[in-house]
Amino acid sequence: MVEGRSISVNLQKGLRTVLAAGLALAAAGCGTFNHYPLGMEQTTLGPLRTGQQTDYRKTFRKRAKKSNAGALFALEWGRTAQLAGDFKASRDAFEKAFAAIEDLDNRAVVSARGAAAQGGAVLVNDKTIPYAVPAYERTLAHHYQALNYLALGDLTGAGVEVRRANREQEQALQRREKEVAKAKSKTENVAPDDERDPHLGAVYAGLDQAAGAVKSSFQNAATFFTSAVIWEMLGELNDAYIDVKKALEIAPENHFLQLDAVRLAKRLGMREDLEDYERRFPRAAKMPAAGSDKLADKARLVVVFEDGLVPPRVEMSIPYPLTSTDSIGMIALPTYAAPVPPAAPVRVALDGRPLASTAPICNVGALAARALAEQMPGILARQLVRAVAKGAAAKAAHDQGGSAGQLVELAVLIYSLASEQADLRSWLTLPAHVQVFSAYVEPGDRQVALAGSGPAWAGPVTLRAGKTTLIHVTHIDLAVYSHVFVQP
Amino acid sequence: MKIPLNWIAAAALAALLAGCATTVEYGDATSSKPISTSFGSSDLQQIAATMVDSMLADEVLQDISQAGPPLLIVDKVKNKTMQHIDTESVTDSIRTKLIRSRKFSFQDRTTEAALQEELAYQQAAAKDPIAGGQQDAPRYMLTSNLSEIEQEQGRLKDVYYKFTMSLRDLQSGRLIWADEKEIRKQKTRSVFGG
Repeated sequence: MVEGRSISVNLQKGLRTVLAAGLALAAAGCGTFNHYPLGMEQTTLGPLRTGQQTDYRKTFRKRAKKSNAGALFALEWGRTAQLAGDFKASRDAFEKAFAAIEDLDNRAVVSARGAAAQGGAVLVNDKTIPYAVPAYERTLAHHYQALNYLALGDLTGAGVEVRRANREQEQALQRREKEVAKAKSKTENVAPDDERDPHLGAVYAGLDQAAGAVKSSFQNAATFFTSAVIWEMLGELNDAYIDVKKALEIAPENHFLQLDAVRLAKRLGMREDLEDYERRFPRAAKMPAAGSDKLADKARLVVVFEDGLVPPRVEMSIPYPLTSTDSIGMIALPTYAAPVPPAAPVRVALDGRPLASTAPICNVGALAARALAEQMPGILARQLVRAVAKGAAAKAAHDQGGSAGQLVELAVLIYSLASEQADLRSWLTLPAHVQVFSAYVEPGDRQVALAGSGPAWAGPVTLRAGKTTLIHVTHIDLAVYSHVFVQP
Repeated sequence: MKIPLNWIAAAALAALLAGCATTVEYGDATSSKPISTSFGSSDLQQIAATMVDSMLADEVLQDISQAGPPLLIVDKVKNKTMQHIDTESVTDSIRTKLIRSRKFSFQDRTTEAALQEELAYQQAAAKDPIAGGQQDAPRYMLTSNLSEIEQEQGRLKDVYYKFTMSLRDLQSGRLIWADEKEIRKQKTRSVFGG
């Protein structure tokens, strides 16, 4: 708590304060990335939308090393390099991100660096706190790193990343269960989400709209699906089946997951599961067993189609009653403005013959919104401490009276307004939606085409009997990025 | 009794220092000093040496090497962990130790392409070429798996590695020897630190 009246002011000191406030203002305004979404738009997202080259090395190299959002910049770097097809640079960037994340996770519970950053956050804003990478971003980082290893022909390495992605989801689930249990022990039958601050209605409304039906911020069926594809490439059918089951729990309406579940359950002799699937998914029940004669001489064609970009956070200023100073303060909070448009499936054709359309498997924008909603109580608590501290400083200056006091009051006011910014950082090169397709087809050198509302993709693809070919297509506005992974 | 102030200060300092460092240690006490919970080079050497020693000391080896050192093929160690480990290097360590024991004989499969080329050249150009299909077939196969289980509880991180090795008779298909070794590492995040 700041004790306002203990501040004594003379003219010289007042001038110094004005100078300090001016400096703080200048510092807050410097650098392309002061406003994170804007900085990303100018350097990276804009060019990505039109298919122009991005200078990812120049944009992210220094920032990934030095800034307090080093992990985040490294994630953006990894994703941008991967879209450009530079898998080695992407792999190295993700490794940097993992090292930065581990460093943050390994910090002492009460660390000097952490305390300094938190202190800074109280005085300025949340952007001075090191960026804490949420679980869904950690999982997706390992997901993309697995693709890097796959592209570089290291299937074992891809397996390692798939295990790590699984671990992230597992740990996030455990943390969440603990939080729910803790909340329940405090107040009977209340989930943490129900402890919402009533003054934050507008903020939560935006988040709820963006999150839609998604109930969990970290359960990501796209990663489980990709994991299962890699497990099958490694010949680990049991692991593949477990991940297909997890994906199916999250996205039960996805027809391709239903087919995979039936195919693997038949192969592994999971009789009870199979009966359940046949009852729930009659359309998928006829799928033959994995490795059976009917599929043995066929090739597996998998399409992962990513559409759009995850929406950026926006700032919302809301009035909030400050009980300790008996006044109303303005606090700035991050939220999501508009819901992401629903996923638009694309038609997959082989040699000009239509096969089927892709099916939605993950709404990344919804995961981001749900994650922000879960972080909101912490963000609000810090904002309130800040609002109270700033309010107390202004009141002290006002009470001082005289020209010096007015000068300081003005400085404090300008500083408060200028420094009051919501933390809008999040991994922005992620897609908005992920959709998948999978089929068993005749092997050979074939032509695959995707057609939807946006720009189409078509290309030659090698399909080998008993092997998987994964076509990874990312559609961002006017641009299409693709890579074909053929099982080694 | 009156306790001197500097004693209290010293005790407080000691308590503070004890809480200062993030510690990593083996679940079982061993001589080597771990620096992280990752699978490092000393773990690798330790595991390869222990497993090979265990196999060489087993009675089964006396039985199968009665008619001279049998031909063995060493399969690449399978990495089922959450870390990028150069398992080729572990495999090399195991093979080298076995070669030095002189209990087995080996074929070099890494130069297979060069060998094929040489045989083809001999067929085409040599006076008395070595005909293909005359090599001895390996009788035994050594396979290994390295897996990992990780658990986190509050400040404590517990990582458990298990290395399994088995020797198979390719003629009968039987497993004639198997052993496993576990390494457990624990890490505690400190309460105070930089």
